[in-house]
Amino acid sequence: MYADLVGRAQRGDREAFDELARTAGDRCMAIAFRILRDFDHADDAVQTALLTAWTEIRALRDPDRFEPWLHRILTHACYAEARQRRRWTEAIHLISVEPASGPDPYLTVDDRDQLERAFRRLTVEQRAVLVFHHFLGLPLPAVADRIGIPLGTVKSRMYHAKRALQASLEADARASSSQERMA
Amino acid sequence: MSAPRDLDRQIQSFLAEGPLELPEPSYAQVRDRMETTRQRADFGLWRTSLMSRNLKYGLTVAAGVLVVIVGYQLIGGATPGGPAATETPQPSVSSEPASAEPSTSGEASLPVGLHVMEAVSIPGHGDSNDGVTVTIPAPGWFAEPDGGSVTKDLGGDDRVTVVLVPGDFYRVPRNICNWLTPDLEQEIRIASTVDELVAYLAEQTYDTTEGSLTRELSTPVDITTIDGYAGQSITGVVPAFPYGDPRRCIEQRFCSLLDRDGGLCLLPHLEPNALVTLWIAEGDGHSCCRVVAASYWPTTRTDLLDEMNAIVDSMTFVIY
Repeated sequence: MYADLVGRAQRGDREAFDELARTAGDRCMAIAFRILRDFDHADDAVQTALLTAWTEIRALRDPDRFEPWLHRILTHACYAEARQRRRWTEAIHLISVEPASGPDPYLTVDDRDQLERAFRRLTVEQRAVLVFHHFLGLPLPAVADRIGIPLGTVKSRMYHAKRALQASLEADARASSSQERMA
Repeated sequence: MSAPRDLDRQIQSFLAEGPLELPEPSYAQVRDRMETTRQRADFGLWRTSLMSRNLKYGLTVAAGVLVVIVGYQLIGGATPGGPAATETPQPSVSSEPASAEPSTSGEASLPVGLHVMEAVSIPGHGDSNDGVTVTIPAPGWFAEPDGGSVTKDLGGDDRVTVVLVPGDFYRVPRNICNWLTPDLEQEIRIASTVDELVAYLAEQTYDTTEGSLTRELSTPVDITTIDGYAGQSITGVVPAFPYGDPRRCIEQRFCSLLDRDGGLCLLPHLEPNALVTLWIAEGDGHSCCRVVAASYWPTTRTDLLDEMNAIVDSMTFVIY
């Protein structure tokens, strides 16, 4: 699918890379937003990833692996973006973005808010594992390949992420019911 | 949560919501930035049909991808193939390399004499301030035209590359195979002095079938080689990939140095058993160090190594 475009991009063809970027960019944005939970930071991470991909594309050995390769670059761009954000804007409250895809009737507004809070409490590395597995639907070995970490690390992050999410949700639920009792 | 539900289902539903498209202005911004961003050259062995002669056999120190010869023009008076310029390069002369266009000829050997090498920008770090004047001492040296490096390849093991590693501060991964760990504080340290950089490099490990080993580096040697700046020089051998398989390492390469944010490899190694020498000179007070690297082989002929050393000795830093 990508072989011709990658080949041309590796020879410096900007039009070909532009086409590659447009083929893969939307999915990158979807991934980055879900990892970072912030539209502007996700936008920055995707732009950084695409520019890095342009710079590094000659090192890509298998053109058919362009998208996994790009996703690995994107993941690290998200890590860097998260570190930078933590450094400079830790105290800023981020406003939730109105979902572009329709809300899932399975989740109530309260559910969504609780999950949003719980998700933000995870490390960016844990979020990445969840996003690649639950959003892209990749099996864990593919997640390991995509992010560039051992399978054991993926499993460990997945386990701790879910445990933290569950604990967070339960704590929120306890806080809600105690507020209701107070009222 | 109002009722117990399957957590996986909840996560999937939660992640299904959110933007699915990159805005058009973002694509345009990427496109604009591409216009001013060079591609790094490919130093691998896997696409020989696409590579020019000087890259055909690949490089060990692929950090050379970050080095650009800005034009092949001589600053001094040497003629192509003729003797080297004898006058001392002056920063004032070489401080205007922007007028020199990068050459598009990948097949032409660099004329003997004085040249300007300019390191390309590291993505996300703004424009590069790295540059050196360098004297090519003999015919046969090539610069990769589109963000290349200085290489002389006489066939077989008689192949040498000299590169200028860009950057001001460097992060040093503990494991040169798994070098993109997200746990920066634990696994990747930032070096702010020559001594720290050398010490961190000497503590780097790599994975083998027998477990993790510390890489072997020579005892550091004090130098004043590069433009009179004090520093240290070390040499090491690129180890074998775990199980002989590059795919077991991040981006299928070893990496010794990362940029200051820890996300970009500045000194990758692709060829096991190659020798890599680093000349690490003190920075200017606003940076850790200036790093020059060279790759060659244990049996590379001595006259070629002499030329390599002459190139390093001739370097003069350019302040833009």
